[in-house]
Amino acid sequence: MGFTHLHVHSNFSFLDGGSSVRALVDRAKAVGCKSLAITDHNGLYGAVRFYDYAKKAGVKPIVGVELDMEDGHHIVLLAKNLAGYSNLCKIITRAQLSHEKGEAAASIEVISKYKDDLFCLSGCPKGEIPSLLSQGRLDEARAAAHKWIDVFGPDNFLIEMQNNMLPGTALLNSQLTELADELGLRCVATNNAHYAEKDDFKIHDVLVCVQTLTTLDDDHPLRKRNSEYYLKSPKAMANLFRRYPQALANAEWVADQCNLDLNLGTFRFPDFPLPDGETAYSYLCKLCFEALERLYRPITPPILERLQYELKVINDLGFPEYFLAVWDIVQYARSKRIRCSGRGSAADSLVAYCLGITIADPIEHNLLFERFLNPERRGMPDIDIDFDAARRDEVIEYIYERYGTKKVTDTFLQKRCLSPFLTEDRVAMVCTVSTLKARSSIRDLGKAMGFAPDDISRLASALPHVGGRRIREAMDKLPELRDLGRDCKSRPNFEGRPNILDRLDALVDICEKVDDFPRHLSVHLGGVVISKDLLTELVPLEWATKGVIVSQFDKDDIETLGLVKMDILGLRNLSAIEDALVHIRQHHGIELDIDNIPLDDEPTYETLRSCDTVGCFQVESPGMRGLLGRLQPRVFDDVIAQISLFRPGPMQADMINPFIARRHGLEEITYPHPGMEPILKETYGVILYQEQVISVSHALAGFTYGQADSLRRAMTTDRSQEEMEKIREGFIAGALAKGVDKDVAEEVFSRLRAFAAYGFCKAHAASFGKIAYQTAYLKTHYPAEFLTGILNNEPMGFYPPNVIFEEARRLGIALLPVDVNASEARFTVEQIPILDCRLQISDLETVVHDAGDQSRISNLKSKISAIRVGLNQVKNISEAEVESIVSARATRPFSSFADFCLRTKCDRPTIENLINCGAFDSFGIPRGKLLWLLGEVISAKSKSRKPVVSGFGSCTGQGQITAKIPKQVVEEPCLIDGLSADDLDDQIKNLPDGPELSLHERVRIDYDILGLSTICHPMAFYREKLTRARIRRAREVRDLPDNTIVKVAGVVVVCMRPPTKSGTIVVFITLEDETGFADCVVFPKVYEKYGQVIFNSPALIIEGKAQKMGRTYSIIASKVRPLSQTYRTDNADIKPFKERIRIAGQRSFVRSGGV
Amino acid sequence: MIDRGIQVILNSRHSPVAFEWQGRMRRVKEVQECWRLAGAWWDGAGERTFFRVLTTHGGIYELCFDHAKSAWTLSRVTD
Repeated sequence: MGFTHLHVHSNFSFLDGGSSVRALVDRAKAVGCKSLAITDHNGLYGAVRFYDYAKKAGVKPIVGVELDMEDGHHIVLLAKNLAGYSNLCKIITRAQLSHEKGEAAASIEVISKYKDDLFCLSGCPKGEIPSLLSQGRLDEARAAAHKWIDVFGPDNFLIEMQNNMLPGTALLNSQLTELADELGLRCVATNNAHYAEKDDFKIHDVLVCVQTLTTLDDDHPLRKRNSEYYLKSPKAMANLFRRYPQALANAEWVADQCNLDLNLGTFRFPDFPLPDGETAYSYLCKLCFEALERLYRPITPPILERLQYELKVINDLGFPEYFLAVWDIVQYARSKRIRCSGRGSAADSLVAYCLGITIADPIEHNLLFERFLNPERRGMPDIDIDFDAARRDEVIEYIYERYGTKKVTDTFLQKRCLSPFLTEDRVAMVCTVSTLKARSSIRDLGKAMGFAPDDISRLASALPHVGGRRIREAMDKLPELRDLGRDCKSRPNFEGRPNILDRLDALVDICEKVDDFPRHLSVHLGGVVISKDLLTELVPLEWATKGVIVSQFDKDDIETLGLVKMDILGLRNLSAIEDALVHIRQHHGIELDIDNIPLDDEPTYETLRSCDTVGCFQVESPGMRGLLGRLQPRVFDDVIAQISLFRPGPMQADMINPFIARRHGLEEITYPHPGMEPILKETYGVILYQEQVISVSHALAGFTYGQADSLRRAMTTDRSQEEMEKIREGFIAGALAKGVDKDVAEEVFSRLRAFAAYGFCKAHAASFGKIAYQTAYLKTHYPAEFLTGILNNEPMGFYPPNVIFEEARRLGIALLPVDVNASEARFTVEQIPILDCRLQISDLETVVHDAGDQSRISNLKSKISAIRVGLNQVKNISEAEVESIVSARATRPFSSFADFCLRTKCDRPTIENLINCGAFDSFGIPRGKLLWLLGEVISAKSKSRKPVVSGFGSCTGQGQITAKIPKQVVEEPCLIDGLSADDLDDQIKNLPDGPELSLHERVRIDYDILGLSTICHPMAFYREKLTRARIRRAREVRDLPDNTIVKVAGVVVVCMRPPTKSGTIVVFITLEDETGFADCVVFPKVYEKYGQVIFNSPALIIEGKAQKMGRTYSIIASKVRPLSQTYRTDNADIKPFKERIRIAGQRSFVRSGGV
Repeated sequence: MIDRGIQVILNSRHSPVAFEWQGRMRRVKEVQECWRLAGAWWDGAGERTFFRVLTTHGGIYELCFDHAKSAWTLSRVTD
C-alpha cells in the first residue's frame, strides 16, 4: 500500500527543519512515495521550489502549512488546488501581518473566511485536540473538534495521528480514534517529519538549540526526544500503524484529492495606465521613435532596422507593458533628478537605451540585443537599475503609489503602520533568505554545541567567506586555521568532558551539512514585486524589519511564478557623483552634464593609466589597479575590456595575458577562421564577451542569434558529458554546412566552450564602464569635490574613509579639521587662500579652463580646494546634536566655547570628543582648559534651566534676550550660575596652561574620534627610522628598475585570498604609507611561513622583488615582519597600528583606521 | 529504577517475548508501550528503546535496549 507524508517540515521552517526541500523530495521518491506535502511553520517559503522540483522528480507536490493559532495550538492546512493555495496565502498573510514580526498567529475567524478547497488536520501533540486529550479533558477536546467541523465540514477536517515512539503515544492514539469514530471523522496518519533521514536528527537537534538559544546540554521542550521524526518508508509507517490501517489509507485519500497546478511559465505583468487610444505596443513604439530622433543624427537604416526588430521581438514575446513599467519608473527618477543607470544585459537593447533605462549606447559599443532577449526563449526580461542610494526609497515609494491599490484598512495594521510603504495589495518588497555559511554556522552551531566563545570567535573570524561544506578544507589548508584548530583540540578537558576532538569534528560535520540552510528572512534591498492581481492570490506576505511588508518568496521564486520583480538597487557611487556635481555647481558655478561628457578625455585616461584610481568605481581595487598598469587604457573600449577581464573566470582561463600581449603588439593576433575577425577584432582575437560567443556561433555555425544564445547558456551551466557532446555535434554540423573545415570547427568550439563559462556580458561592462569613466573624469578634473562625494557616502567602494582622506592629501588637497563654526554635518569643499603655494598656476588654469570661464582664473590663483571634515564624522555624535549645532550656528556663529555650550544640545561625551578632535581650536583656547571648563559648564547648566513660556520674545529669566521663538515651553539656559558667556570665557583665560599635546597624540586622538586625521599619515612617525633602515616609500618603488629587491612598510589596507587558476592560496596585501600604496603578493611558501603575522598584524614590513606592471608594480614578498614589533615607538597606540579592524561586508579585508 | 543487565528473547518483529530476571524466565503477555530516546548523542551516548511489558504473571516491567552497547537492561519493575 502507498503512503503520503502530509505533515513535513523542511529547512524553511527556519531552524526547525533538518533537510532541504530537495533532500525531502529525493527521500520520498527513494522510499516509493508518489506524493509529498511540505507544511512549514506559518509560511510557504519553500513552496515554489518544492513544487517545481517535486514535479520534475515525478513526485506530486502538496502545498500546506502548519499554523500557530492565537491560543497557542497548532493546526495543519493543505491546499487541494489553486483556489485552496490562494486561500492559504491569504490566511498566512493575515496571521503574519496581524501580529508583530516573528509572532504570527492565525485566528479561526480568518481561517473560516478562507476555508474553501483546504484540508485541515488536527495537528501534532501541540494541536488543540490531542493536547486536551493528553490532559484528560475529553469534553473540551470534543468541543474543539466540533468547532473545526463547523468550519471545514466532516469531510475536510481530519484527526491526525502520529507515532514517534514516545511514551503515551498508544493511549493518545486510542483516544483520538475513539473521538474520530464518535464524530464521524477520518483519522490520518502522519509522522510530523522534521528531516529526511534518521541520521539527520543530529542536525535538527543542534538547529533547535540555535533557535532556542540553548546548548545541547540543556533541556528544552522544543527538542525532540528521539530520532523518529524522519520521512519513514510506507512499510515502516505500516508497521507503526498496524492497528490503524485506515489512518494510512486516509493519507492516500487526502493526497489523491490534492492536485495543485501553479501554472508556472505564465507571465503576470502589471497593468500599465496608457494614454487614450494607445495600446502598450503603440505607446512603446512612439516613445522609442521620439527618442531615436534625439539620440541619433542621422538615423541610418541599420539603426532604424535594429529598433524595429527589437520592438517586434518585445511585442512577440508579450513584454511591452514590462518595458513601459520600467520606463515609467526611470522617468520618475529623472524628473526628480535622481541619478540612475540600468545595468546588466539590458544595455544590449536599443529600446532600453531609447527609453533612458540604460546609459551605454548599444550601437556605438556594438552590443548584441539577443544577449538580453532571446526571441526563441520566452524568459522574463531582467532589467536591474542602479539608483542614487540616498534617494532610492523615493523611487520605491513611487512604485507603491503607482501600482499599489488600497491602503491597509485593518485597524491593527493601521496602528502598526511604521512605514509609508504599507499596502498589502499589488506591491511588496521581495525577501531574501539569509543562509548559513561557514562563519555563521561556526558561530551559531558552535555556541549550541557548548564551545567557548573565544574559540568560536577566533575560528569564525579566521575562516574565509566560503560555504559551510568547505570549512574542513579551509581548516586543513590555511596555516592560521590549522593552528587554531590545534589549539582547540589540545585542551585536555572541555568543561570536564574529554571529548573535545569529537565535538570539534561533529561541529565541522554538521556545519558542512547545514551549508546554505535558511537562517532567517530579510528584505532584499531593492527587490520589489508588482502584480496585476492581488499579491495574496499567489504570494503570502509578512513583516520584515522596520514595518516593511515582504513576500515570503525570494526573487527566484517570484520569477518562477511569472511575477514581475524590479530590482531597484542603490548604488552609492551614483550618490557620490551627485554629491560631487552639487559641490562643483557651488564652487565652480558649472552645471556639469556628467552623462554626456566626451568619452575621449585624455587627462581621464592618464589618470587610469597612472593607476591612481582610489575612489573610482570598479577600477580602484589592487588587482584592478595592477591590470590598469598593464593594460594602459586609451579608449573607452579599453575600459569595457578592463572591467570584463578582471574576474576569476578570465584569470583562471588565462585570458588576461594573451589579451594584454596582443594589445601591446607583443603577440601576433590570429583567428582560427576569418569569419571570427570582425567579431573578435575589438578584443585582439581573444573571446572576452558573451556577446562574442553568440556572434561566433551565428557566423560560423549558422545558428540564429536566438539559437546561439541558447548554446551560450547551455555552455555556461553544468552539463553532463553526453549533453555537451550533443551541443558540440550541433555546432560542428552547422559549421560544416557553412563550409568551415572540421578541424577549425573543432578548435573554435573548444575555445568557445573554454571561454563561454567565463565570458562577461559586454553590455553590463559598458554600463559599469560608463560610471567608472565618469568617476575617473571627476577625480581628474574635480578631485576635491569628487573625494568629498565619496566621503559623504561611505561606507562604499573598496576603501574606508581614512584611505580616501589620505588620497586627498596625496593629491594636494588641503584637509581641514572639524570646526564648530565651519563644519556642516557632512564633509564639504571649501576654497581656501593659498598660504603655502605648492600648486603650479598652470594646474589651476587647467581646472578653470574646463569651467569655461577664464575670468575666474585670477580669483582662483589665490585659493585652493580643501575638504572640511563634517560633524557626522565625530564618534557617537547623534543626528539631533549635529542638527542643534548647525541650526544654532545659522542664527549666528559661535563666539566662544561657552557660547557653544549654552546654545546647543550636545551631551558631555560629544563635547569632549569635539574638544579633543580640535573642533574648538579656532577659539585659541588649549584643549585641556576646555575640558576642565566643560565639567563646570555642564554642572551649572543643569541647575540653571528655567522653563519659559513665551510668545515671541524674551527669556524671562535673568537678563539676556534670546532669539525669537514660537509659543511653546522651552528651556533656555540664558545664564549659568549668574555668569554670562563672556564671564565664562574670562574664567578660561585665567586658568593655567597645561602641557601641549604632541603631534603623535593628536593624530592618535583624531583616529580614535574621527577615524582619520588632518595632520598626517600615521606612517610619517616611522619615516625617519624606516629611511635609515632603507625601507622605501611606496611611491619611490615606481621609479626603480624592474625586479629590484625592496623593502616597504605600511598599514595593511587590503589583505585577501581570492581564488586562483591553479587553486593554490595566494595572498594579496596592500600597504599604505604617506605616499600611496604598495601592492604585494605572497605566494604559498612564504604564506606558510608568515600566515599568522600577515593576518594578525595591522602594519607590516615586506621585503621582496618589485615587478613592474606598466606604471605600477607588485612586490613578490619573500619576508614579512610586523611593523610595530620591529620598530617600537609611542605610535603603537594609534588605532591603525593597534588593531585590525574588519569592515562589515568586505570579504577577507582587513582595514586600518577608525572606521 | 533498577538498571540491571538481562537476557531478552525477541520475535521476528524484534519485540520481546520473554526475558530472564532473578533467575527465572518471564513470558511477555503483552507489549503495552514502546518508546525510544536519543540520549546525549553529542557525548557518544546511543539511542535506547524501551518496552513496557505485561508478563503472564501480571507484572509490569520496563525493558531497555541500548543500541550503542547492544545490551538489554531492566530499567523498572512494577510488580
